[in-house]
Amino acid sequence: MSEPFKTAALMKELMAKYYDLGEESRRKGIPVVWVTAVFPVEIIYAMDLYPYYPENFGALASARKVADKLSMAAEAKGYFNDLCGYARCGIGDAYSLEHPVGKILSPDLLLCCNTQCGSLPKWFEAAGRFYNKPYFLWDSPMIEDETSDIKQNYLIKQLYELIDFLEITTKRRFDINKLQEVVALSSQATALWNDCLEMAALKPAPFGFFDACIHMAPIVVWRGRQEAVDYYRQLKAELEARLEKKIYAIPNERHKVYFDHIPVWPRLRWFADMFAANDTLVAASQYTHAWAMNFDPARPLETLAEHYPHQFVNRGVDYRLKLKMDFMRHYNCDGFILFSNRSCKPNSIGLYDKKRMLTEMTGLPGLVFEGDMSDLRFFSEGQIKTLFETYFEQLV
Amino acid sequence: MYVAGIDIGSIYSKAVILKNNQVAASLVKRTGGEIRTISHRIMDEALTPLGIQLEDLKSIVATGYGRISVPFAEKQVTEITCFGRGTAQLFPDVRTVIDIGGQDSKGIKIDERGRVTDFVMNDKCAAGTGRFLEVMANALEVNLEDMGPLALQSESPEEIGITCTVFAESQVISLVGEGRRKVDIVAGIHQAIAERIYGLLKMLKIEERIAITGGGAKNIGLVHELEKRLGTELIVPEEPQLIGAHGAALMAMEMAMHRKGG
Ligand code: SF4
Repeated sequence: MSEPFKTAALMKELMAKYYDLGEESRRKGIPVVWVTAVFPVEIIYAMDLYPYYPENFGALASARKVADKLSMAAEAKGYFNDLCGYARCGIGDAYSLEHPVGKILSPDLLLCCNTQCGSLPKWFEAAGRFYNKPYFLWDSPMIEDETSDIKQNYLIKQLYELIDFLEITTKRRFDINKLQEVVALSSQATALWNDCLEMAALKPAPFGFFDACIHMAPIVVWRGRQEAVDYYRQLKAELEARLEKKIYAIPNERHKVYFDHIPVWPRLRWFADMFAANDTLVAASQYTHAWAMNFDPARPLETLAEHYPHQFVNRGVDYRLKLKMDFMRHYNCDGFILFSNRSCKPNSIGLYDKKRMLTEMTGLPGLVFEGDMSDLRFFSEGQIKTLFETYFEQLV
Repeated sequence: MYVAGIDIGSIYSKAVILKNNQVAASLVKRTGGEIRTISHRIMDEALTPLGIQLEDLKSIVATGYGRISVPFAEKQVTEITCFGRGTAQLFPDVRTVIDIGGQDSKGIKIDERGRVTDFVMNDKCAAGTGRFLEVMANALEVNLEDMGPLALQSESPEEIGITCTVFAESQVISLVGEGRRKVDIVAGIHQAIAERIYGLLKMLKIEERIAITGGGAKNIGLVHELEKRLGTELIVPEEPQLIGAHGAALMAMEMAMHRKGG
């Protein structure tokens, strides 16, 4: 991981502001709207509602190493420990008397899109019943390869329904011009985010995947607002300055690898140090690229319907393999890591086959490791270390 | 010129001393207590008959799960890489190595020079490892060494589910309680372990010839069950537990030669 960024201070400030805004919204009666990470939050911001990301809460609890504690509170209520760790954190916190990372902000409305997985709708439905609040699902069909008009129309029609639902439940008017402005801001921020991610293609690079995992918070929660634009503009400028001063993400970059997934949050630093010690930069991941979208503000609803459900998680095997290979080529990778994440089944399925196919097609060595993004009860340090060290020996 | 490889496994620690590429001494000892102490003791024991001391070794490579705690090692290399190297030296035509150690089992693909081209390892669970066999032997009050030969005597092995060591143990205990024949239970256990390891191996593109190493290779019942599934004879080294330490010693030799050469 890179040495601390000056921008980190701004991040701290922005995240505090985001959480304060939540409390303030609650006090002022502005609806708190639960949304999933890959959801057209632009609509929420355009209606001056407050979007809250329970997945972000899960990631925070995971990074603070308390996912197991919260999870056990959910397990005591009968939720199986095989469920997504984010869901276990969110549900656990709702039932828990202790809140080690602060209390999860309860929703006034719950909006979910099933483009990511089947766990989120179930979690949001359960939360909707628990908090007794209205729930809306933006149902996305699987888009194996190319989309079709039928699918596109289906998605857009539901956005109209979503707007109706929001107007009725919040008694606020939706304004398409406002949405256009928000989408334009979102587009600027995602483009800047993409510029930052792109820097990992340089050799040596000033920025890598582990840095991106830390700096992604504003693109998740603030996209659609000026704050995100300001943040990534500043980060990009700092990265450019670092390049000039020859400050790089790791001291001796010899190899680059592609990492397929969410990081192991409670071990982010451990992984970052291990890769750095082996002179290997994790250059890219489809995960951090999920927010590098490129919207067209002139067609606000259409562009949202085109981008969100087309994320990798909602695509077929061939598309996903090609995406991984494109990343590897673009970032000049010498190998790839696939994370079989116990929490996230849709991203962990078929990894051994995928690894074999990718190696056949690219000639690059790959590694599959098993663990959990949240919960250290499912993380075997000794074994994972041996796996990775062998892999590094293979790269040399 | 003397060099050494030392392999600190979860149950056994091993050492191999090479003199100009020939094995001059080797040793297997139970790991127990502090790794630093164990590693000193095992080296002393291996070196004394040769009349040399630690300082006389030109290079030492450590491997195994305890590799980072060997204070005198010049370099640490993972056991997967070492098992690949050691096997290739002894059996140059082997392309797949099955290593069954105390706490994990692995499948390793190697090229003609013993370089690892692909590998898999069991996840956190101990099912399908040496430790599992030990737990089962204990539950049945059978000597670990007798497990393999016993398994071969059965004609109708019991079905044992082996998703988890703890569950399997209680299943075994209840089978004993029901008065089932020990040989059939033992045979069932071997089938279950072989099934698990075979499942792991299938994640690789298995190529012949196939060798089996590690403590598990000394279990004839397990070798037999794996051969049935793989449809081919397995190569079992004379000292299967020493292959990792041997591979480590070969790497130590390379490092020493490299230094000598410039
Ligand atoms: S981590 Fe995976 S299972 Fe969990 S919410 Fe995200 S996409 Fe769904």
